[in-house]
Amino acid sequence: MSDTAAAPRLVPEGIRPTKVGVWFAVLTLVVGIAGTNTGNNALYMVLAVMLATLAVSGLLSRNNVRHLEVEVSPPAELFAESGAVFRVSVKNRGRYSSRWLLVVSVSDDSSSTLFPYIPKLESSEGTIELTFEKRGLYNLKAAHLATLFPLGFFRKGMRHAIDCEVLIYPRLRRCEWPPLESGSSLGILDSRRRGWGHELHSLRALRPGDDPRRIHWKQSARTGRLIFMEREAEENRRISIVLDNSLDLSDGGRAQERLEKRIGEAAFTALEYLKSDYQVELITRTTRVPFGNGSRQRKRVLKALAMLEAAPPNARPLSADGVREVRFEV
Amino acid sequence: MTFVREKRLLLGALAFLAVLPLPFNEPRPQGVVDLPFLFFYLLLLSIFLRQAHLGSSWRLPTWAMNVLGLVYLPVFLYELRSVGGSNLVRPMIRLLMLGLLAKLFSMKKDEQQWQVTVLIFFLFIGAMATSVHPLILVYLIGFVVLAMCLLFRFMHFHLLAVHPSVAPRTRPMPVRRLLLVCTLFTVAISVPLFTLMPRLHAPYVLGRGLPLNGGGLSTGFKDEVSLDAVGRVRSNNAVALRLKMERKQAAPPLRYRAAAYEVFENKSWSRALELRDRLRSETPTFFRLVPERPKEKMRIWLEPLGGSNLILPVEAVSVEVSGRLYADASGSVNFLTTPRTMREYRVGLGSEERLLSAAPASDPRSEPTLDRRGITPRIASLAESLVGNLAPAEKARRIERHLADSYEYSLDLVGSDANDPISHFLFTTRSGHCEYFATAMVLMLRAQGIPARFVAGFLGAELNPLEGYFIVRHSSAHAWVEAYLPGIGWKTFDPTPAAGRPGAARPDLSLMLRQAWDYLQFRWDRYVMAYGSLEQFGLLLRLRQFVSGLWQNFGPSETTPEAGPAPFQAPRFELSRIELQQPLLIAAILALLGVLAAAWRRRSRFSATRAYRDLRALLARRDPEVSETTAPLRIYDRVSSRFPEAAASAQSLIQLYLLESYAGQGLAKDETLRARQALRRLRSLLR
Repeated sequence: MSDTAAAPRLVPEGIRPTKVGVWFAVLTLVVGIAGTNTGNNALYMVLAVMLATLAVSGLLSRNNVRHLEVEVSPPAELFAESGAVFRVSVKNRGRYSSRWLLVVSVSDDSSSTLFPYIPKLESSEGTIELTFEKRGLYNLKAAHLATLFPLGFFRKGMRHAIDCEVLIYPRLRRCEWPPLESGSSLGILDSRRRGWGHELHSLRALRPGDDPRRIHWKQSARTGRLIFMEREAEENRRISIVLDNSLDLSDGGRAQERLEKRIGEAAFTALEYLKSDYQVELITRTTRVPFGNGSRQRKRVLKALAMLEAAPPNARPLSADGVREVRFEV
Repeated sequence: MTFVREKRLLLGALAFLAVLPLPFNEPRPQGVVDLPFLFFYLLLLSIFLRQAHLGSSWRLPTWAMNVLGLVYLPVFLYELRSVGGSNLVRPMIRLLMLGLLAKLFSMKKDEQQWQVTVLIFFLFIGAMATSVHPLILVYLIGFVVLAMCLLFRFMHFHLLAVHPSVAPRTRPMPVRRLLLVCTLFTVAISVPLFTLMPRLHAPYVLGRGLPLNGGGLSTGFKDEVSLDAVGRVRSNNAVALRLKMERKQAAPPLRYRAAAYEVFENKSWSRALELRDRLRSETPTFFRLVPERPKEKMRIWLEPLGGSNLILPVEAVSVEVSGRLYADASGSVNFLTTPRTMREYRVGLGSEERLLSAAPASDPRSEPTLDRRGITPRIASLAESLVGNLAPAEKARRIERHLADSYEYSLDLVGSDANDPISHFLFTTRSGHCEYFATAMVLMLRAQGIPARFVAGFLGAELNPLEGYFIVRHSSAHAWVEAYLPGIGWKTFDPTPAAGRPGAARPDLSLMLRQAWDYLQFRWDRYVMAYGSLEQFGLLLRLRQFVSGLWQNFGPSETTPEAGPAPFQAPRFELSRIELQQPLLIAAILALLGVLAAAWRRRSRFSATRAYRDLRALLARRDPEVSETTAPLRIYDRVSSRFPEAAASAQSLIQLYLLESYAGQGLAKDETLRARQALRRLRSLLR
């Protein structure tokens, strides 16, 4: 950690002449030969100006990628194989000069953004679209700054450390929802119980000790006596997503592909249930995310699926507590 | 986004600029490109620019370009053949210009734009390499700015084209400021680079050609001069030579001798004496003309005059110059060949005039300075009646006085076409210019048996206060007489009336401007065009002296070596001799530029807010109720109630002000124009 802190934020990535720059250098050489050969001072003047232009171009180019601060902000959720828009903010910390025509990219295969002009001590914001092929944890270590400024002779690069860690959730694979398995796995009709949930279970006469806040006033008015609302127990809206992540290694890459597919389907299913206000639990051979709902649970489930690795076939058995479960097997 | 229109416009503008100096470049007077051809080129370029401006998609087909090339090929070969390989510049430049036009009109892809850029670059090189004019520096800077603009814009367009994602800008890009900074940096770096780059050859300078009006108005001093040559050249203000006294307080010599002529025939003077004895030098560059120690030293920079004469003051006793020198029997000193570039030499001056020439032969038949051609009986009798039996010196003085007192100086060439122009001058018109006076005196002296010759040169020099050197212009060309007086030798007489002698020009604005321009041109020639390895060496020596001088100021003092006459050196930088005027001039120019830049910035920063404030201030002068806190609509009310004729303009301006200030958007061009017009009208109405 201390090494990272001590490391310079901006590291030069070298300078590369462009095609235009190479042509300019060749023409400079031609003028130099002509001037030296003839002794014509007008040609020496042109030569001096051309060399000075090269020098100025190099100096301004170098200055253009210095004293910059880059911040990359990922979006809230990132899914594999789908583009995500990162917000990039470039701040010009230079006191004396503006920054021109900066191209910022985060990785080699990312799209890049052009920052045409950043005045001194000001910042500019743009977006970069990034696509991650696989789920998992990624560490975006650096943003790459490149510039052709001022005349397009050189491409000057600079790497800016950003240390941006992003968790890529599995690609959501649409599947039949709910994917009903054989008979008893979803005994919705039989297992309705009273409880403290949100759905209405039944109406009955008010008894001593009942919570007066649950009196159904409309029915009480209609019947002439106090009617109490009984609600369904929460576990009636609970579902366990059971994902068997054990892999037969002899099957090689295809098994892994199938596992990825199942993970994507499990993620999709879990999100759909969560969207329908179910309490969802995720059970795999290596991980267990207990019941929960809402956005926190969504994150927990997605994180667990993002980090899920294949388990050996002899890993611990799958067992679900819930009444209902959706099972995904490779 | 391909930005084709913008790219074409930029390339067209650069192609326009690239050729501008060509017709004024060497070889003169015709220039590198004929004016009609240049007009043809510029016409086609204007059509191209208009097409580009309108966004036309028409392109010259490739087959048409090939046909044009095939058609031009024999013309090009003919041109090459006609110049005989000696001067390839003109046909090559013409080929480049035509090729550039064809490429511009047929340009389709991005690569072709770069090909066009390279062609333009070579045209620019052609324009630079054939130029000797100081204004080429302005051209160079202008071209650099435009080329930088083109490169920057091309790169910008490229980046915009390949990057669909562009961060929004909060402010417009100050491209003009960027170009200014780039240019300043480039110029600042290129000056030391130019100074220090190794010179392997002596500087090659294309000679500055004779004035555009042709050789007829140049002094020339060829082997033969007509009677009107000097009279005609008096209208030419071009510089013939410049001189600088090494001791600042010393006055410059008055008379600069170029050539002496002995034979007067067919209304013109010619040399009778064959050249030339090679002058022997004591050192490779030092020639002693007269065995006498010089009292003063001066430097002369001689422009190419079209003749081989080395112009020397009549007091010259030595000359230091690189190359061979030859002298004829009349004492004129010549180079072997006609100089095509500016020549610098150093002259030692004696206390009085020293004429090199030997005594004439005693036999009048073999002595050209006693040649009787042109002497009519009437001229002889006039001479006789003037001088009688006086001594030769007194005779000469009397004839000189008679001509100067009794005749008028005139540049009207009346009578120059007469059969005997000198008789016509002496007995009919009684007015003429210096050549008539000098010729008349020579003939009258010869009629009296006194050897005499006609001398052409320059009289007087004009001080250029900017550097303290003297300018001798073609208009100072003059003719006078040298007569041989027994016991005295050759002596100068000038029968031209004082009013007709070249005098100091009146110090007016045009003279100041001419002098300022000459100062610039002189420096340009010495320090830029003729800058070579010797100058670099001299500069390094001076730098070393400067550093060691600094060191000596802090270190122990040393005895100064005894000052002696400095040996002649080729032109060099004179850092220690920078006059006070120069920094002042530079400061004045910079101040002027600063004022202009400030005015330009003020103009470019026009806004409706500023215009509104101006309106409020104008109104406050006329209406005490208006102050800085008065609201815009209230101001409108005041204007409409007190100055109803200005109400419409005020309304328009206030609307634009509100739009600019509160709608958060800048004004469009037409709105700015409207605001300007409204303000102008309000100023005229409210004042």
